[in-house]
Amino acid sequence: MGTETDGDSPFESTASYEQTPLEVYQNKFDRAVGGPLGVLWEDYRGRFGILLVGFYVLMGTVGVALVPQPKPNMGPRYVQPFQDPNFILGTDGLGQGLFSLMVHATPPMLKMILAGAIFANLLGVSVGLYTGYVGGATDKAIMSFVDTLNSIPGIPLLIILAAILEPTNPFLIGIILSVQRWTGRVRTIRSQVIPLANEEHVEAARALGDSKSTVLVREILPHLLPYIFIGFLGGATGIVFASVGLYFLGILPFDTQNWGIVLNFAYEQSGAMYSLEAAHWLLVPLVTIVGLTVGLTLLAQAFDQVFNPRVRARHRARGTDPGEEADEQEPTTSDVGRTRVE
Amino acid sequence: MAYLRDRLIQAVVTIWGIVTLSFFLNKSLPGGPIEALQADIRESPFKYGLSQNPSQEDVNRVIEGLVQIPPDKPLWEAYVDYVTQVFVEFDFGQSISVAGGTDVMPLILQRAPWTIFLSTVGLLYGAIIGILLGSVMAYYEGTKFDIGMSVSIVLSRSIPYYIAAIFLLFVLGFQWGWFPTGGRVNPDLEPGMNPDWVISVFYYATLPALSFILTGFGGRALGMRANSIRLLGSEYIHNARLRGLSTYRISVTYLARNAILPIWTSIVVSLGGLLGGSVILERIFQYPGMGDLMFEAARLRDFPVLMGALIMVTFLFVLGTLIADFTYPLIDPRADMKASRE
Repeated sequence: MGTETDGDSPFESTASYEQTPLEVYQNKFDRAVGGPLGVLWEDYRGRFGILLVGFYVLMGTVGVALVPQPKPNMGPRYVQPFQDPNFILGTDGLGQGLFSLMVHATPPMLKMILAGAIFANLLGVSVGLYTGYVGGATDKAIMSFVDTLNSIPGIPLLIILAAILEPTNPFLIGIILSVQRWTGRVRTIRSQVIPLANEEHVEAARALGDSKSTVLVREILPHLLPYIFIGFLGGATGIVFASVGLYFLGILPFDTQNWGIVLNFAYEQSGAMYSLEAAHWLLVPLVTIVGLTVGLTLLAQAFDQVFNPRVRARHRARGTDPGEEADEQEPTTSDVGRTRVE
Repeated sequence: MAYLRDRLIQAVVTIWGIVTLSFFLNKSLPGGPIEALQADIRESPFKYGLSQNPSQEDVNRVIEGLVQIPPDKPLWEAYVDYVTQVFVEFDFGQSISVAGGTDVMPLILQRAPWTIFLSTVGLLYGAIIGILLGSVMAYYEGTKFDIGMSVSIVLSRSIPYYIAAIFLLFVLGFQWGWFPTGGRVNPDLEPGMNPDWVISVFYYATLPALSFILTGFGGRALGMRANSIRLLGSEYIHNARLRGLSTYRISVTYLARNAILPIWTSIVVSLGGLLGGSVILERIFQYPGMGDLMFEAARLRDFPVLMGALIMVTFLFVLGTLIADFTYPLIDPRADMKASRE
């Protein structure tokens, strides 16, 4: 069923039911985006993670346009949170609205995350892929360089780089913060590539005379996607940790807004540590930072599920037949078959 | 012994690598230490004991005294000079900011023991708590206790340690007054190995160490839990039960020893994070250790001290890794056997 033979040759068969281009795209979209998102959404960690991270992304894009720029004396000092509708989270010792400070520090943070995590992943994955596949003396040389770089405690190195370069561009800061982080990615990716390099399909591609880059990109890279995604989220958490830490120390220039700067002011030049009156000045950035890192961690945990083929198949089966309790049992072949035909 | 020989070589390469990195950071980075120094000397020559409008030779001589790199010599000659100074004479130059051009080395050595103490306390307690908790969680696998602990560990791991530090300091230090809010020992006590002083040292280290422990034990607990669960089902444990061995013997010598193996190295690797993190932590608790020294140096752009401290921190970390590598065969004799087959 499902196909029609066109008389002469069995090879010229066409589907009896033609999909419109829109349906093709819908299918593709569902497979690439909708499905994984659905799996994430079903996992409670994923749901929390999406909501939290989504909230920060909204804050950094739409929020910046809606919330007025923070400036000193925009309101009275030390307004307590949830008292004044103009300053939902209260104001700090300079009369700046804390909510507005938090919102306007988000875009640079997102830029740092984007630049840093992409840089670390790109470098880490390509080096790990290559060195794990080639092996031999090249591998030894590259790995001893990577290990050396990896043995330098991160924050002292970053402090020196920040003191020398004094970067202000968030993208550049993100890259500087990952100047060492990529070495960890090399180790992870390499340990995955080494067993893969001897698998049969890779061997076959090699025997067919595919070039090294083709083998790496088409045969090995797809297997590493889970590690790349989860590494990206881990890298994002690392960037948040490091950037807020360095801004808190006051080592990075204060030209860009950052939650660490708010923390720095609250800690250094106020009674925020001593008096409960100013405690919100300290607590608001604390909660803001932890919210994002928790969101990223939860998302990373839930991503494990997305790459689990069983969970994905179960999700797809349930998506087509909502009345069925597919949750309790593994999808049977008929389930999967029906999904395909529809 | 090939295993240990390789490790030793890697350690030496790492130390040499960091010294080289420090040299190039000093020498060739645009706007780097040497260029910055040159500008500073020309601007205020009196600070460096020179007269107005000093000659180029005088400036070079002062710079060489400070950073151990003669600016006028060719690159390789300056490099050889620098490496010999550091390796043979343990001379890292002189501080710019501390009065009278104090040598960097004694400055660092004065502070280093405190940082080592703090990191070791954090490491030991974090490891012990993590291992114990992990085994208990494995024993009660799937119960409410196990699930609850797993969730709280995931949350605690996504909180940056300095956020925990600020929070602990705020609540336990300033608001409740249970712990001192700064310093490393009660200054009224006589230094020495008398019990009062030792207790005071631990008392002052409690909060800084606690912030590391609270945010760090989780990873180890999860690792230990996973290892123990995997081993609990294995045949040699069954066999031991059938032989009628005591539960204590099974859990300690059969289970714990094998479950610790995979996390043994990771325990020591986290020392790097502790040493690096001490910069932010010692700043928060005003704990005058090596991290605090680095922070002050970074604020004042005192590059000789910064470079010296970076080399020292890396050295300590490499030393820690070496200790882990050399003790590993003690708990896992296979590490040595593998090498002997080569």
